[in-house]
Amino acid sequence: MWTFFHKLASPPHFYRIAPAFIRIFAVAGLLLFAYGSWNGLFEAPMDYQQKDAFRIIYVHVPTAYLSMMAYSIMAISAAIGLIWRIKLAHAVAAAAAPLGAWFTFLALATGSIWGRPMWGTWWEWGDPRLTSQLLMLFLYFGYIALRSAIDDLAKADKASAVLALVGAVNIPIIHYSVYWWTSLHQGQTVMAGKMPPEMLNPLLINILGFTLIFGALLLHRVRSEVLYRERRARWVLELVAGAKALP
Amino acid sequence: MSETLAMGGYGAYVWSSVGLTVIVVVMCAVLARRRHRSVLNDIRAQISAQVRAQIHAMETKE
Repeated sequence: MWTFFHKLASPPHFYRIAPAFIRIFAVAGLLLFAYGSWNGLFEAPMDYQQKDAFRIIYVHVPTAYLSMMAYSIMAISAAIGLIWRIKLAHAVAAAAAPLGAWFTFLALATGSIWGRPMWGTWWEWGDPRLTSQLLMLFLYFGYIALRSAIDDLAKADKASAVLALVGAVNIPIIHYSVYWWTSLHQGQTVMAGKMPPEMLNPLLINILGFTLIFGALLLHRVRSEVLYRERRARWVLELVAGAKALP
Repeated sequence: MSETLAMGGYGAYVWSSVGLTVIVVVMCAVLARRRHRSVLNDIRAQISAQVRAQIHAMETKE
């Protein structure tokens, strides 16, 4: 078990085995997404209050969930990189940031499109759920900007890791914001068991599907990141130039 | 069919959400591929620069 993880953290080994996982995750994720969306958009019964507008949930909840998941992955990897100085951990953190930013954007955009017919507004300044989610988008931007501003990779890793960890306090705030303050945003529905199975199942399938697609994208980006970080290493030179091309 | 797609008058909201999500996820995949290719190209450029430097060093020695 430990040798497996130890081997996985070795850059050349990771680089070699990642494509198989990327392919499996991408194909499985797309199939689940297609199946879940079909059922959610066409087969699931209409919500008695929100009518067909509730169907936005099938893209909104998975993207919102993954926007927070990406931040957690980024912050935990950054912490592991800081404490144990594992090369791959900083690569994971750096790779998670742009994906997290895009999924945060999707959660905000689909939420806004959902809010227009349901709340009568695209956006409500001062709403705790909306504001803390927007803050997360800026945390991702800050993280990416900080990384690109520092040329020395080791320093960029350390400084951006600290930023990621400080910003992590925002994650429980986003999650509990609908309980702690009054918000336009509705409370928990998935975990609270408030949905009938024919509505809930497509959502769970989509959450799993999006998670797999996200996993494929993350592995893809980590792979590029590893290659860039190891660009002076012998195994990379041999791989790119072909063995024995270089002394 | 068109009735199903109309989503009881909410079609514009539902389909724009779904469409945007699909577009952004596809774009994420395209960007990830492009990033990988640019890293590979950088390394190739670095290798040819190294090789050139070595050839140059050998030629000046002769």
